[in-house]
Amino acid sequence: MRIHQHFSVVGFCNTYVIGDDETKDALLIDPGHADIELIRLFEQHEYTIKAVLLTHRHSGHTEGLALLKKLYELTTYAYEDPHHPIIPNEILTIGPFEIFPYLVGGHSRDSVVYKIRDALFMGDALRAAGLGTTPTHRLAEHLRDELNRIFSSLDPQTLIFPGHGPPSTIQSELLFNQRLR
Amino acid sequence: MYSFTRCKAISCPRYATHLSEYCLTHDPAQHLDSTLSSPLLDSVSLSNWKCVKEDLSDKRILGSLFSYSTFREVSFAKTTILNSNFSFCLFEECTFDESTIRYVMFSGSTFTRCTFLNSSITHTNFNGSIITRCDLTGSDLYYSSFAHSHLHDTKMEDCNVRKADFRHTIQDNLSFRWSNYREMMG
Repeated sequence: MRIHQHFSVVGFCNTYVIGDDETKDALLIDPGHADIELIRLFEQHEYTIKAVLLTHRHSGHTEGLALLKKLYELTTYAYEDPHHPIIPNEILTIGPFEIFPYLVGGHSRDSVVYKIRDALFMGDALRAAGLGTTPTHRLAEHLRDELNRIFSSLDPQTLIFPGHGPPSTIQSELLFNQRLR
Repeated sequence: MYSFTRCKAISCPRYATHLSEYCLTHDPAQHLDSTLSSPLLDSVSLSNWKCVKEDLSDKRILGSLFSYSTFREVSFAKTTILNSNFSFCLFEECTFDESTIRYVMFSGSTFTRCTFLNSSITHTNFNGSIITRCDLTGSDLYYSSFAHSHLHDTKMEDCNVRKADFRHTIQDNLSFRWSNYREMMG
């Protein structure tokens, strides 16, 4: 499995492309913006995009979808999607990828964290040394508790890929993220 | 991307290298020459590595794991490091001048007398690191995070620190001269 990041200056969102070197199948997470660099990334690696996973439906994480759907046949998965809904805590298999979705809420009602092998794709639930923004303090506490519950069940070396900012690990967040305390 | 295969030695918490089923401690005779002579280090797994006076300049390091390693007098000058994990490492007198570093984890690492002159270090995680007598002058630190780090006798002059996170840092003789420090977080 190979993880590629694509940064969009529109919404400052990280888009992730997860590719399988053998099958050339790939997943796309949160296409906040589609530009020539992102398309070049698919083409250079000869990836077939099997699915798009949305961590939540805020525009900064989805705006690239319209253009990409014109170029590729894409199936989009999201929590409460009318056609391809994500069911929390139920493994979703797409091509060579096994995806485990956690519904965390907090930042938005539909916020989902995806675990794919040893990596967590956080969307806006968490960024390195910080928590995602929430409308209320009570939702922040709920989000903190949900993330702590997930992190305590996983290997501390699990990688964390947030929707904004640099990557991290569970171990680093437990040590240096005081919003998780 | 590096694999998360644990060392086969019983109760060893370390990761196996990309060359063996064991970590460097339990299989120290691993030949790293072919890996280190290549201009491309892709999906390399070398955690707990002791690297002294190695020349890793001008290389491309992609999706690799070096956590808990020690680097002493190592040159990463003009090296491109992408999506790699150097967390909880020790860097002493290392050179990262004119390097390109993106989406890299250095969290919990200690840097002493290292230089990162005129480098592009974006979306990189230095959270909880201890940075002493280092020089990052002329570097682009856009969206990099230094939260909870300790920065002593260090220069970040003429740097782009837009969206860089300096919350909860301990700063002692840290210079942001000519840098856009009003645009950073913290």
